[in-house]
Amino acid sequence: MGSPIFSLTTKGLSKSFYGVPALKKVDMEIVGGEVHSLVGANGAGKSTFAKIISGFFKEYGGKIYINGEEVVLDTPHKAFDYGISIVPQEVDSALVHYFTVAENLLFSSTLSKNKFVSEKQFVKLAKEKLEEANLKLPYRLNLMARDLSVSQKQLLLIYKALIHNSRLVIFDEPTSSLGPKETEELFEIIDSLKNRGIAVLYISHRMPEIFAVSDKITVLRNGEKIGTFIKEEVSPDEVIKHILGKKEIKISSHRSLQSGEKILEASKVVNGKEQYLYLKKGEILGITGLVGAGKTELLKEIYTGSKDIKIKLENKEVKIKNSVDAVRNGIYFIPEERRKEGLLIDYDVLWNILLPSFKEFSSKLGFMKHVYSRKYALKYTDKLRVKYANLRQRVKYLSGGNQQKLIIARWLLKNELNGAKVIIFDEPTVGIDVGAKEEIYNICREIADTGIGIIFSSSDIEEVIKVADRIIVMRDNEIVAEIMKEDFSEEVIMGFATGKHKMNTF
Amino acid sequence: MIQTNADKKFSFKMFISKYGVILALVFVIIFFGIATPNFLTFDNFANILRSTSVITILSLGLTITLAANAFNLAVTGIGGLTGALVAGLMVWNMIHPFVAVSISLAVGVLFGVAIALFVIRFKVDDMLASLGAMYIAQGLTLTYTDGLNIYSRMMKPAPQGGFITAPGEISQGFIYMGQGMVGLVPVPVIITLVIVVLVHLFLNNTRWGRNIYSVGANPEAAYLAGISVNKYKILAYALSGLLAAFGGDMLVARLGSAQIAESQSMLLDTVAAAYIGFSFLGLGKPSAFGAFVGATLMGTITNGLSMLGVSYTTQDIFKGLILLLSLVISKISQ
Repeated sequence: MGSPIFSLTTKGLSKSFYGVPALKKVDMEIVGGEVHSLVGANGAGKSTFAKIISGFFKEYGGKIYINGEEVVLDTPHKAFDYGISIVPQEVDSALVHYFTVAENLLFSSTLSKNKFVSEKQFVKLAKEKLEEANLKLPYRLNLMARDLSVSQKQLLLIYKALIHNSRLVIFDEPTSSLGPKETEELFEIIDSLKNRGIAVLYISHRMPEIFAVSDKITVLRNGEKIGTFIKEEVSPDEVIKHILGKKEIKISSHRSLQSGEKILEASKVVNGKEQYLYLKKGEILGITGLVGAGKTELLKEIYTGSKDIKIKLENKEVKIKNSVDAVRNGIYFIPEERRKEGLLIDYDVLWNILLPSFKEFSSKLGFMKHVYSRKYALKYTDKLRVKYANLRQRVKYLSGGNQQKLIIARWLLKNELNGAKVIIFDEPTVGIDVGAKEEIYNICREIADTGIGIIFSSSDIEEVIKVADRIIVMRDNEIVAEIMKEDFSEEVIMGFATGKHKMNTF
Repeated sequence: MIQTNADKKFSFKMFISKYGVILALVFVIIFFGIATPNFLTFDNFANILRSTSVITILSLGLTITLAANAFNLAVTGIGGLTGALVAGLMVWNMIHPFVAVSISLAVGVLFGVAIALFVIRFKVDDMLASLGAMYIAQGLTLTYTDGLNIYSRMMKPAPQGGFITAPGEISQGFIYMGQGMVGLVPVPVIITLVIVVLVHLFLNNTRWGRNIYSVGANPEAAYLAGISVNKYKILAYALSGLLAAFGGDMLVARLGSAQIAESQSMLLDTVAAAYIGFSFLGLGKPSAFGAFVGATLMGTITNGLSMLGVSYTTQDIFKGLILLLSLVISKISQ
């Protein structure tokens, strides 16, 4: 018969950071030929688990067994040699950008021990290895890694795992930057991995995907394993309940549409066609479309100004040349990349929450009013239930969801001081667990109820349908449809986003 | 609660990054105190602080730009230029010291702003742009002074042959700033300490200082939070030029004349002091008090090595090594 079925078992796996436990005595078994999903809220320990078994940490508590034998996985190289590969959420961290595809396929492997290998030889060697493993890459081997798309990079990492005879491939949130078609293709690849007897550990937040692709589902909560379930024997609602614990999810009800005046109008001429969007007071305008459709670009143009775009606030034309103008006019922006564009990652909670409001919290001479500002900071971190140790904690230690809430809190604070007219949310729930997502939706509704206009941009159509009063669909940097609440439908919106329908509904 | 060896090792690193600089200073003092007589005297310490007053002020100028994640390498060049200017105005143009100082400070500010505008407009590297500015400043200094040091009633060759004598002198009031004493404490030390405190308060307690730090920490995020990155970069460079100019003036006051080569020789100490300041108290960001401690550390080492009879050129080897070490420690503390 063929080789024995691969199994990786953990017993009592634990890990702490600075004394705070991230993973507490987790027992788990991952078997070849199966897709085993690992689900849980942010901070539940999924990434930590994946990192431990891929050799990222020098030290961990508990034991790991591969095919019955105990192993110590304290370097990535060791884990790789034992047959464990990982396709990380940030694919770039596993690739060398200025190396070719061929070099990345063979990188850090014993296959390329030879020091003076030319590029041609790399390509030849890579080709051989791919043929041995019965694989073909749909793009050239001498392309630079940095020129590949996200899904192409993922494919590279998967093939790299295969030509090195990996027995376990870990996927960490693989679909966060993929469109629907690429996601389908990824699932097909995962299927073929299963057929080769390879074990797949699939980490994700997205219920539909998990239920589409898994055989087994393990739920983590607060670092502990809650249970392992066979997919056919459990429902998505049950899984969500396990993830959240006792918390109940509020089903969002339809908001009463605010009728009324337009608070924001933006128009721009693109290729001879006029692009126009408006936002009413107290309305949540959803903007959706596939990844790369131009949503963020459009919103940034509104917020930072461009020579092509004309903005009207409350029926008066305003000149917005940069973010300073925007903020002064009451337009606030919550960016997509929290760490890169939203936070000063090495500074503390207090500094980050006050960032746009230093002027308001300083005296005439410019000196900061500490007591006064702390009061406000505490008020708004409480309001949004941001979880943190204390105001002096560096924000890098907060979880993704809490970092996001902190950025929202920052602008709500400024709103109390200055009055916002429009708040723009750009992909606000990326990488955030189900519970925190719901919290953010509710926060948006509450903000809108006070008369502030909200633009909510997301490539997750389901989410936008949940939150928005009206939806605009973008495709290829153009607004292609405006859809009213009565007509909300995932298929229709997807149709516009992918170009199935070619009509506008203006 | 599982505590692994990794956690314990980390706190040693943290300890070094927090108190390393202060420990270094203490160690150095003890070392020289044992190695030479007369080191551990009040007079000698007063001497050290007096001689590091100029470097402290210059490195504060550098520190402010570091806070904005920029790098004004031209501080010593600007100091040299403004020093020559303030002396020349008093000595050749008989201008009142207050006015002369004000003009020199204005020139410093203008220089800083010019560098900032250049960097912003052409999107070139800060450090390299200021390197160019430094050479321009030096060139201007040499041109303005004809390569001569400037001192009271100096003589210089006249264009038509013979010599001409300068009509003016460097005012006593001005010199007091650099050489006077208040009781047992040198005036420059008092002035420098006041400036250190002011810069510290500015950077940490005012909204402009905070904006400068924010712009330096993450210009993208600061911009999206509505902070004008360009405005604060210009402000940082303007203040840097101001401090550099004042440092140059202070140097003239200390020496009683404008020595055109002096300020450039301070470049190494100035940069080292600013980077030592990075790791002060493990802050991992540029700090005013840190720069002060850094400058004092460099000055102590200079003083101690001189007392031991080590030549200036050999001292540079030590100082170069210290600069490298401080770069490493500043990286660790970040």
